[in-house]
Parts: sequence; structure tokens; C-alpha cells
Amino acid sequence: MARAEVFDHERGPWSRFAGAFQSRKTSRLAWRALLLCIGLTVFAPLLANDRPYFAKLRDTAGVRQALSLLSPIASSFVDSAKAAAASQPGSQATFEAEERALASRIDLLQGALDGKRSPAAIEALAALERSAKALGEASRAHDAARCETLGLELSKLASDARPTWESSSTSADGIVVRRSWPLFAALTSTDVTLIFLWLGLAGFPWWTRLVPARSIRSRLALLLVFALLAGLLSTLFPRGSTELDTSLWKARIAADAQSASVFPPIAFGPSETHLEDSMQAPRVASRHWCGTDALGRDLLARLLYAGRTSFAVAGLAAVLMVGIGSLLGLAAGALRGLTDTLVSRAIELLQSFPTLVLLLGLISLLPARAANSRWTIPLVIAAIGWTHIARLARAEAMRVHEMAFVRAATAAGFSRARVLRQHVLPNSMGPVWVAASFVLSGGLVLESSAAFLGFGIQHPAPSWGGLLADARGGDAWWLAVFPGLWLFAAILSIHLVGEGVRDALDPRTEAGLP
Amino acid sequence: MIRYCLKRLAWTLPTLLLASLLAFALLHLAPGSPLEAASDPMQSTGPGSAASLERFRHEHLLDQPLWKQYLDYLGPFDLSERGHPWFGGSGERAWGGLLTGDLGGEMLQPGVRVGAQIAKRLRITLPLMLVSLLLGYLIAIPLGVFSATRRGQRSDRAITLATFLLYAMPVFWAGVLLQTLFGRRGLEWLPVLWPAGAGVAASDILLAAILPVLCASYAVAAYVSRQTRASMIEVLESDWIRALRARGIPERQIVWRHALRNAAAPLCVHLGQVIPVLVGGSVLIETIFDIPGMGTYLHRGLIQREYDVVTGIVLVSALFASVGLLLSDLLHAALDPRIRHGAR
Repeated sequence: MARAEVFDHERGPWSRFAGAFQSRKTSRLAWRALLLCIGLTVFAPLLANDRPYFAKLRDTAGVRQALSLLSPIASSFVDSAKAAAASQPGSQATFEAEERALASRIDLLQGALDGKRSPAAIEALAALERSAKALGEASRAHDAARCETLGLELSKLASDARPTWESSSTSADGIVVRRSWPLFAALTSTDVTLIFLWLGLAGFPWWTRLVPARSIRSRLALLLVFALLAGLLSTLFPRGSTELDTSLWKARIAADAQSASVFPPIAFGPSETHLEDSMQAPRVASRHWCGTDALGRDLLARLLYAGRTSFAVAGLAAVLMVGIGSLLGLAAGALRGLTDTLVSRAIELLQSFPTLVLLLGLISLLPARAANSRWTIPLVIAAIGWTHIARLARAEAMRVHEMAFVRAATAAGFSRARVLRQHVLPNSMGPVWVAASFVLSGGLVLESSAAFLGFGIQHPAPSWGGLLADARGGDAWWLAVFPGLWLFAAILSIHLVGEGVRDALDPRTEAGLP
Repeated sequence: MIRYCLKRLAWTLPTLLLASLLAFALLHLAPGSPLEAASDPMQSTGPGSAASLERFRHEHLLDQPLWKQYLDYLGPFDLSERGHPWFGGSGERAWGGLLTGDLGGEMLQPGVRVGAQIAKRLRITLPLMLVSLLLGYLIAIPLGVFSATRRGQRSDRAITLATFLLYAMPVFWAGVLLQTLFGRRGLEWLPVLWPAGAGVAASDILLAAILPVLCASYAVAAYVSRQTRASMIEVLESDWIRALRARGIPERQIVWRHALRNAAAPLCVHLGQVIPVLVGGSVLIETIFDIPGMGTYLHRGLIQREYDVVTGIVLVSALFASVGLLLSDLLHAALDPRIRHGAR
């Protein structure tokens, strides 16, 4: 217990900052609210999805469909085999592709049919497989006459396969019961990475106790590496998406009376339409807790997914703005001269326009695909919004650059680059970090404003601003209230976190809130 | 001071010119033109056909190099076929372009001049913005002063919390909420959309303007009252205020005459930042309430890719922003003698 009382200056700057931040109740609450806001959107695919977590069912409709498609696939294989046998130009590649398609289709069906309950169907498929192989060999041997006879036989076998199956078994009985995890199979590696990142950030105080004392930076790096690794590993797991795995899980589960399934709490996808349920007001008893829009899409599911768009765009924009702004600002403030003139004039020029007008103008210039991308919109926002950070960084760099320790470093003979990187940069980032959170909320509002006016990301889910555009005219209160409330909560918690950061970095300033 | 203003104005002009060049170049370099945005080039005849597309491009100089298009836009010579004889035109319409005060015309509706349209629409947008600005300041300053004089008390906390919440509220959400609250599914007290058509009674317009003004002014009010409070608190803590109190001057007089005058100087600086935000907000508010002002004109121009409309409005709004900055400097100087007498 000798070192239980650690002196303040012996703790690192990070833990001093964290301590000061945590000591205020509003900052603590705001940080948790922000984490919750982000968490809900990160976990959106697990919370709202039209696929079940778990399903146990026979894929009757899928097998039926696959069997009915067997005949056309076989006949096109026969055609391409004949063409290849006659060595027509370019026919070889088509023939091989068709051969693979037919073989995989037969494999699939053999796997889906229960060997014990539909032996006749399995036998029919095996005969089909043998015949296809023989035809392939004949085609490779360029034996056109044999191809003709084998082709006729194969076509007959393919068209007989379905009646054979239906006579040998009562429809659903001949099919293997499958257990599957469709929702998890549909998670992308980005989803997995984000989920792990969020868990790591939310549980930071707990899991870091288990790691031997290290700097906060290496812990964050550890978290990032771990999350990326998890995302990478998730691609190794079988995705379970076969050709029989159509995404209409609800219809398939409804079609099979003996099925079992577990759906997420919000059993709707973001773009799942039910026209018969359009414009439903929210009711606790109904399945649509936040109501539905004009196309009968569940508003809550759309909100969750829209948050991903909003946060992704705003976060990326904020990172870019802080990066560009602080670099240019530092360069201008520390190097002075021509750099300073250019940067200052650029800032003045950009700030002489209303931000939203400029943003709309730039987005409307983008081609349609780029205007719907989560990568280009943040770039555009950052290209306009870096000026605020740059001004702060410039002023601070100018101040720091004149301070004694910088002169001392220069006098000690350190190179210019080293002085700038190791002395000026770290000491002039304080105001930038405080402004960073306000830049984040500014990005959120800018993106939402543009999306509200119809400029920005619409697919797969619009952002919160895009959702609010549906509420214009004021006919459905739920469409106006819920998306705005989420956006508002996010902005509010970001502002409060920003105030907490400001007070933690500089305890002298008065808090904005009592 | 006059010299400073002139310098400021002199700096505005090259900024605007550079801005017009940038806006022009970006708009014209981007793929697509108004006619393509409006029609289907696959048709063989009619307004969207390849031949008429070619004629359209020729008439609007779109087949010329970009620098020539920009010089035509900038003026003062018109470079088209009907333009100045120096440049091979017929001389029918020798002068034109930005330098002659002409913002160009709409391409899809020949004969509609962008400058006249903007002027017409500013007659709606400008009063709305000015009233919102005034209303915002009129609410904010007493509120900020009130809350600064009761610092730490319950009323101050309530006001600070309310302005904090209002400040974080996005304008378009507030607009949609107001529409929902007062609209035909809500209280039905006020019209939520601008009355369409000509010859609308003035009272109808005034009624329809209430919600947009409210929507534009609450954010100004929240922002300015927070600034007023902070600025007043700083002033009220200074020594000379204590000296005034010691001389027995009534508190009311100290606050409203002495302290407010000193606290108002930083507020003038914020005026310059509020005006561009208002201009940007007017696009949102006019779209929500369907007001035929400059904001909706910009929205339409962007969707139809009307080059001259977008460039014109970007320039006019940049002009507003610099006028706002100039205005804030002038007000600052009027209130603060140190600046007036050349401390700058």
C-alpha cells in the first residue's frame, strides 16, 4: 500500500485527463449516452433484422424450385456440350461453366434430400450425374454423334427428376431438416469489427485491468488490432449462403409448419416493405414500436440502420477535418511566410460562404454513385469544414512556437522537423481536441441537413436527416418525432462530452451547465 | 475607420470574383448539363434529341472551351453569336455578364433572368431573415442579461439548460415538429405551408410567416443568449462595476446601461457568424414550409443543374456573409471607442 496515493504528476497525462473527465457527473452520463447511441447503431443487424438468429426448417420451396430449374439447366448444358463438340469458337469456356453449374446444382440437391426418405429421387439424381459426366467426356472427345444421343438421354432424366421425387415421398418428408444461423451468417466482417471495437471501448476500464500496465495508446492499438483480427477471422467461418439460401426467411418459415425459429426483437429489415401496413402509428401492442412509413417499412429498424450511416459519415468527416485542419493550421502557424498566407486566404475564402450552401453545391456536383457513398460525402464535408480547426490550430501553434521551450529545443540544435513534431505539435493540440467533438456534431448536422434536402446517402438506409424528409408536411407525428429525437440525443451527448473534455483539459473555464 | 471599411470592401470584391470562378469551374467540369438532367437523350426527335441537344449546347456556348465560357459569364462582353462585334458576334446584345451586374439566365426557361428572379425572391427571404434576426436578438439579450444577473439560481439554471437544448436542436427537426404540431393533424392553428398563387391577402402571408420566423429565430436566440450570459458574467465581475455599485448607482442602471454596453461588443462579432448560418438555414426552412424564396430557388437550381442559378445564389449569399462581417465590424466600432480610434 506504499504507493496507493499516487501523486498527480506521476500519473500520465491520459489518466489525469480521464480522472478529471470522470469526476463530472454530466460528462460521465453524456459519455454513456453517446456510447449507447453508437452501440445501438453498431448492433443494429443483431437488433433489427428480417433474418432469424436461429432457424430449423426443411427447405421445401427451395428444393422444389431447384428441381424445377434442373431441366432448363441441363438442356443448356446439352446445347453447350454439343457446341463444344463441334468446336465452335468460344464455346469451350461456356461449356465448362455450364458443366460446373449443373454439377453444383446436383450436389446441392443431393445434400438437401434425405437419402432414407427419398431413395428414388437420390437415385434419379445419381443417374443424372453419371449421364452428365458421360456427355462431358463425349464432348471433350469431339464425338458429335454420341453427344446427340447422350444429350437426349440427359434431357429426359432431368425432366423426370421432379416427378420421381414427388412420387417417392410426400412433399416435405423427403427433405433434410437443417439448423441454420442465418442472421450471423449474414454479418459482414465490418459488422464484426465494429461490434468488437464498441465492446472494447465500452468495457475499457474493465478489460484494461487484466492487461499489464501499458500506455493508453498501446492499449487502444491492442483493441484495434484485436477487433480487426476478429473481423478477419469472421470471414473464415462458413457463410452458409448456398444457392438454396434465398433471403426470404419469413416466407420459408411460414411455409413449413414444423419449423422453429428465433427472430431478433425487431423482426424487420430496414428496407422490408409491407404495403398493407403503411403509415401505422406506433402502438405498444403492434409489432411496429415506432410506426411505419408510407411503404410500410418499420421505422425503428430504419432508425437503427440510419444511425450507422449518420455516425459513419460524421465520424469519418470529423477525423478528416481534425487531420486536415490541424496539419494545415500547424503548418501555417509554425512555418509562417507563404504557407501562412495561402492557408489564411483559403480559410477566409471558404468562410465567406454559408457552409450549407457550399456543401449542397459540392454534393450536387458529384456523380450519382459518389453522392450515395459513405466515403465521398465525408470528404466533401471535410473539404469545407476544416477551416474552424485550422484557425484554432494556427493560433495555438503561433503561441506555442514563441514559447521558451521551443526556442530551447531549436537552440539545442534539433532539426526543424523534430522541433515541430515533438515540441510544437503535442503542445498545441489542446484546443483542437476540445473542438473535435463539436466538429463531430457539426458533421452530423451538416450531413443530416443535406440528406434532409435530398442530397446525400439514400441506400441501403438513409441517414436520420433523410428519414426526417418523409415527415415534411406534418401528417404523421411519429415520422417527425423519432428520427429527430435520435439525432437530437446524439448531438446533445456529443456536446456534453465536448464540454467535459474542455473542462478536463482546462479546469479554469466555467462549465456551460451548472 | 472609413479606411478600414474601404479595405474590407476592396478585399470582398476579389473574394467574390475568385468565388465565381471556383463555382463556375466546378459546376461546368462536373458531368451533366441542365438539358441532360431534364430530358432523355435516347429520344430521336423532340426536345431531348441529339440534334437539339447539340443546338442547345451551341447556343449556350457549352461547346466552347471553359475559359471562354467563363469570360462570357464574367463579362462585360457577350461572346455568343449575338454578342459583341469584337469577338465575331452580330452586335445585337453586345454587353452582358457578371461585371455589368447580370447574373445570367436560366437555360431551361429562356428569357428568365437569374438576377431578376433572385431579386424577386429576396423580397420574401430578406424580410423573413431580418425579422428572425431581430426577434432572436430581442429575445436573447434580455434572457441572457436576466440569467447572468441571477447566476447560479434556479431560474438561471433553467434558462441555461433550455438554451443549451435549443441550441443543439437541428433547425429542420424544429421545422418539421412545428409543422406537425400546428398542421392539419395537430392543433390546426396556423398554416404550415406558404399560400400558393398570386393575389394572396397580406394577412394570410403574415400568418404563414409565423412558423418559419419562429423556426429561424429560436436558434439565433439560443446562441446569442448563451453568449450574452457569458459576456455579461465576465463584465459584471469586473472592478469598475464594483466601483459603480459603491457609488450607489441603482443596480438596474448598472446592468442595463453600463454592463450591457460593454458586454455587447463581443456580441457584435457573433453577428458576423450568425448571418451565414441564417442564409444556410433559409434553404432548409424555405424547403420545409414551401416558401418561394432564395433557398427554394437554390434547391431547384441544384436539382436541375442550372449553372447560373447556383453560381448567382452562391455569390449573393457570399455577399450577404461579407456584408454581415462588415456590419459586425461597424457595430463593434460604434460601441467600442478603442476600435474606433484606431487601436486595430
